Amino acid sequence: MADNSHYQPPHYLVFLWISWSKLNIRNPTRFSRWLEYLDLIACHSSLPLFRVSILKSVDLWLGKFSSGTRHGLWLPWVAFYPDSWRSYCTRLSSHDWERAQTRIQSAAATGTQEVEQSSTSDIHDLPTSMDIGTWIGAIVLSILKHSKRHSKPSQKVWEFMWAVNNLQVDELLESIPVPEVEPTKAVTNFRRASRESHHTCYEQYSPVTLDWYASAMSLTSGTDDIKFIPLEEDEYSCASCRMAKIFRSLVKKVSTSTKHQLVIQELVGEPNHFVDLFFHSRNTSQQLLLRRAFDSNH
Amino acid sequence: MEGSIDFYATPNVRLPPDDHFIEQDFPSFGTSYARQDVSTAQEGRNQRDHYDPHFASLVTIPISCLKDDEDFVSRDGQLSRGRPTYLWLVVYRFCGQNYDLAVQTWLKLLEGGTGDDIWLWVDGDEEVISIENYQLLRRENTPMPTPTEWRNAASALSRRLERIRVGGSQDREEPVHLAETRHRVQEAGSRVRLPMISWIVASSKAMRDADASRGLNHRERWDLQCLISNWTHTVQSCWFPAATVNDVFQTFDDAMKRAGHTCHDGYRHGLKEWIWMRSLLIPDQRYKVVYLSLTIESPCKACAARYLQVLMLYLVVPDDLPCTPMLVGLGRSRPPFYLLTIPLHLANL
Repeated sequence: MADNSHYQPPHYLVFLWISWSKLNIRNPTRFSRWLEYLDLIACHSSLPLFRVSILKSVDLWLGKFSSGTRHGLWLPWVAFYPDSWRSYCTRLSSHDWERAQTRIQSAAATGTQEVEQSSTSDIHDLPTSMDIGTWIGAIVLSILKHSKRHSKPSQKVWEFMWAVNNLQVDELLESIPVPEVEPTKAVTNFRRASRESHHTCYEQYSPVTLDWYASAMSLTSGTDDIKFIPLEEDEYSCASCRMAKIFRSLVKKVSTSTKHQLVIQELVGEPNHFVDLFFHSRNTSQQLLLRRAFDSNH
Repeated sequence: MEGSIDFYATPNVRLPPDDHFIEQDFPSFGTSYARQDVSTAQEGRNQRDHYDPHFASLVTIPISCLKDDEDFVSRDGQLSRGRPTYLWLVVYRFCGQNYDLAVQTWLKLLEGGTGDDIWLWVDGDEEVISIENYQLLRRENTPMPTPTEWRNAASALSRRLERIRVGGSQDREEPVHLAETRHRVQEAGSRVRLPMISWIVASSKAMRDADASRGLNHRERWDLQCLISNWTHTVQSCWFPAATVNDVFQTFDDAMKRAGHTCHDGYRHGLKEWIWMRSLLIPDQRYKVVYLSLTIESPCKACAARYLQVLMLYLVVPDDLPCTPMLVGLGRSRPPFYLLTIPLHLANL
């Protein structure tokens, strides 16, 4: 215990712990739970999050940060991080940090073996390099998935954004910008989809984090076709979201049975299509009539 | 050498503002430790207030094995669990509710031999804890040690007993300040002993090691408010003499106000009891002001000024300096730094 004051966990480990303990509200910040989660991620062979190369680059990236403050309470390695991270850092002892580090290192070692095997057999098509943004996004998604609190798909996106905001990565980004995510097919698809849907609900988020979301989703789901999901968090913020909500309530009023509702939705089409029709009809009087009808119905 | 400055001579500097001592009589609590000589009693000052190198010869209580300890060891941690349980609750609280770290620290404290001691119980305390303070030991949401850890605790305590029985003169004779502390704690009543031991645990070496492994440094200086609130939590069901506590706190309050502090205003709940306990445990510090919010943005101006003062020192002193008491204890090994502190002392706050 004598040389505890000189112990310093690597930056990526601190980032993993902080993101776990900040985003996992349902489960209290238990160390054993975190270890379980780390094991789970490490076992997931299609998610090469603990590859040595990516961990090294994350370490380098976080190492550039400097909070610029000195305080007597915290040892230098804790004072290094942003203020909101420090109290989380002090929940673990150096023994705990070492335990977690050995687990991740063993996972990284096995991961490299698997990569070698797969490259010889050419079964898996794993990406050879990963962006830091993608890594952060994938970590956030995995934690959200592990905490099991998604009720609907739109909430998932919202939670992702909430998570990124809550991690206060912005504070880091101001001083150490993350290299931009590579514009892969998934990212460009997502950008186009969000541009073409006439939703304004995504404008409150920075395009950088949206790119993280798209590339991380493509990594976890394995497809390049990332769906654009309207947030529908506040019906007044985005006109298109509001219209979609009205449309759904209208369908509900026409018929009380869910079977009928589904049939009607199929007949009329997706709410988004309906919204397109509504916004892009040239006849303004028709638009007004529609709006009045919906308002009275709503 | 001629013409050189002797750093080791007593420097002609004013004391830092927190060390000023109010020349005023202090109400006696009727505790048995406050044995006063006739000559000093007339002056209104307790003999034990100041460092007394001859005190070691006055200590009459030997470091001995208690019957409760032997019960605990012989039954392999099944019997007389009151005091270890209390120690566990205290340690768990002060370790930031980190279970593994708390177990380590608990065993280390039970075994002792680190230079300072917290096992300052007296025969009969076990009964007091398990009967009078039984509510104290029933804390929900606090995980208790497993049977294996209880067995480890028993073996740790047995090692302590073995050391006391067999050990040489080093373990039987303590340094003077430790002997004084032991004397004060053991002479105090069993109701006072509980809060005292809780605070001694907070400032023990094992707890400092635990803090260091969590990345914290010198919490008694920087995080005093948190420590006091933790202490308050551990002594919730203890009994305190309200009138005496209020009297002591009134004196302390005056001293704080005179030093320009406002940080204790909104924090009177556990602070009163803590001040009273401290006045019994460390009589030298009974009027000493404390810095409860030592940050630059603190609304307490005296704390903010003190923060700046210490920060200036931090800019000068390298990181790897061991956390000695900063302004006083920089001491003889580092004359240049000691020189640098002198202007800080003179800054009149």
